[in-house]
Amino acid sequence: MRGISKLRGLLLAGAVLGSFPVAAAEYTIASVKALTGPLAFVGVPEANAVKMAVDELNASNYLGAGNSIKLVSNDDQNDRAQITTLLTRAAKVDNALIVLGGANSVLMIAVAPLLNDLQIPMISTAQTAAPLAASKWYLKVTASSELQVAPLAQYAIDKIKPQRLAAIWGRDNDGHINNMKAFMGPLAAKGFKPIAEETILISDTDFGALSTKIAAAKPDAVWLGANAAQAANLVIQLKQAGVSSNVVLFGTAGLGVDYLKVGGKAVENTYFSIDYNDQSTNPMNVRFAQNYQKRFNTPPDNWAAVGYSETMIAARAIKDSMPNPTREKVLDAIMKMKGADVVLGGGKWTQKADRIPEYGPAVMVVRNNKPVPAQ
Amino acid sequence: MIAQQLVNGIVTGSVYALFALGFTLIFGTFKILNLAHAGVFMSGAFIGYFAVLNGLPLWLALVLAMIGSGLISYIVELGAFATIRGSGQIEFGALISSIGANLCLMSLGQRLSNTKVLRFPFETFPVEFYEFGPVRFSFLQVIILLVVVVLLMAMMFYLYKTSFGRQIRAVSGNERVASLLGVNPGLVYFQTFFISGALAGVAGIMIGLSFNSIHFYMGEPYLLKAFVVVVLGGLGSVHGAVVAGMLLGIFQNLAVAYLPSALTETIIYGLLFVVLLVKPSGLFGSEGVQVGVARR
Repeated sequence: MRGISKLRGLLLAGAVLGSFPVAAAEYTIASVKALTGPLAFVGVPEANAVKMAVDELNASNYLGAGNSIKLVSNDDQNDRAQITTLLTRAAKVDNALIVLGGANSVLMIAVAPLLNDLQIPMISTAQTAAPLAASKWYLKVTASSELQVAPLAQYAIDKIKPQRLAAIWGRDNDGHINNMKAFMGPLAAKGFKPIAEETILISDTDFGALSTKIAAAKPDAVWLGANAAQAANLVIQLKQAGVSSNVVLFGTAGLGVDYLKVGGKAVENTYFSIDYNDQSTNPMNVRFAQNYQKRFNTPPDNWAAVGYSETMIAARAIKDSMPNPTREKVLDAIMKMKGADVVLGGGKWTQKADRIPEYGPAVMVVRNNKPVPAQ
Repeated sequence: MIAQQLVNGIVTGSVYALFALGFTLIFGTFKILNLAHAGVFMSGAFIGYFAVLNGLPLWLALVLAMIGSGLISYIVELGAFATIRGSGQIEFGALISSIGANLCLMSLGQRLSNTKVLRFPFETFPVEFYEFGPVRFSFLQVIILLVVVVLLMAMMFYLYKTSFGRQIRAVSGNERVASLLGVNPGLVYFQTFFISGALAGVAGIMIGLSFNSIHFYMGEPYLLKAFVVVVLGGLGSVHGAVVAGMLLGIFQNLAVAYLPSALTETIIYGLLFVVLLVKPSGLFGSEGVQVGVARR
């Protein structure tokens, strides 16, 4: 009798406990991006898209009913000391499962070893692959320069065959330097020698003297190693200085919406390998573009697409690590990730063994101020 | 190519001179390094941009930008300098407070632009080019040069031929004595900061139009160049700023044209170093004497 009543008590207790919902879990993602300073034009659209992605994921109960993602967003001010502090805070105070890192290659190289101490995965939008060697916790959302630019270089060799190629690139940006090497290397190997090699700074706006110099060299093609708006500005000044309107322009994956908007008619005939195609009819891309426009009153650019995609990758990694996700499990999930839904390239993101992801950047050309696949 | 680069250099240098003139005017008059000048310059470009975007003609946008950036410059004076003037540490205090004011202006610009690079609509200014032998220049370059020359002459006239200018120079020499002689220092501060800001505002629009780029960070590289111009020309020397601005523009263009472009900055700052070694007071500065617009 006593045993029966004990059993009854246990059943009652179970029923009472069972009638309460399981405690909702909150999983933290830390975003550490340049929201002020010279790289804010990258960090702000990325951070905007990260926030939008987190809100969408939470609204759709992506991690299961009751579970949610908590976003802790901070400004790294493009400053090494600030990033170090924020990474430490993300790992030790916020208990983040993953950090969405910044775009400055030099700073990412500097802070990568810290990830080993903190044992926290960071997926970064910087173009350099160098930090991969310094830390197994460091991950990239975008492909390496070689992967992004190689199809473009091959296209130039096979189809354009430039005889008088001028190269201009940002000397204070590791990504621009690597892109230039990835483009010029294969061409040089095939005997295409540049007639001019000039460098600029990220903050430069006056290209009058440089444009005159390039125009005097009469190029039939120009490599633009610059960010979108700066590259467009450069092209306008090149053409105003007398560079032929028929010149073929080659650019990096960073070109996109802003390049077309700022450059207008001047940027026709630009070939570039694209990370984010705003003309894509992929339903996820269409929804992303509509929601971003509605929320921020501006169309998304390449950086916004990168920020949105890295959040999707991080969220999927947390989901794949359920139940009880840990940083190690999240890292492992990203290492094994195949075909994650993103708004980059062909829409599917796959991690490779060398930790340089693949998502199928395509070679595009600007026709009537729109990027279309290059034939 | 050399003729073309000289034309480019003169146009670029004239805008440097315009920017640096306001900077040196404040330094020459009040011995203050106003680092918020970069933010005021950016504000002028933003005011002009939004005025054009709202359908106003460019000439009116230019006037609005001059008035707007002039007023912003005066607000900087009230907020960053006037409050610490009595502390006896105005030089160092002003350096820090002007950095703060500059950051405030840049943050505002960042908010307004959402960190995007803005540009005037394509039809804002007619894109016309003229060719004279090997030299090709745009209608915009001609207008920029004209505007800069007119403004510089107007400023020289104002400073050296009017009673307002004499008051500025009097306060620059000795504020207490000037006050005893009936000069209202408050009015002098207003005029000086307003003129300085107005010139920066025009320079902002000129740069925005010429280089298709308006950005919250656009003032920083020009501030650095203004330092070179001011030191090269002689601290506080108005004439020196004009000549040094032109020289810097021409030198920079020739360096890009005939030397590896990566060396341009090194050469410019190397030149500055040499000038400081040979003539520490700058091209138009007097050795051993603190120079200013008052010491003419």
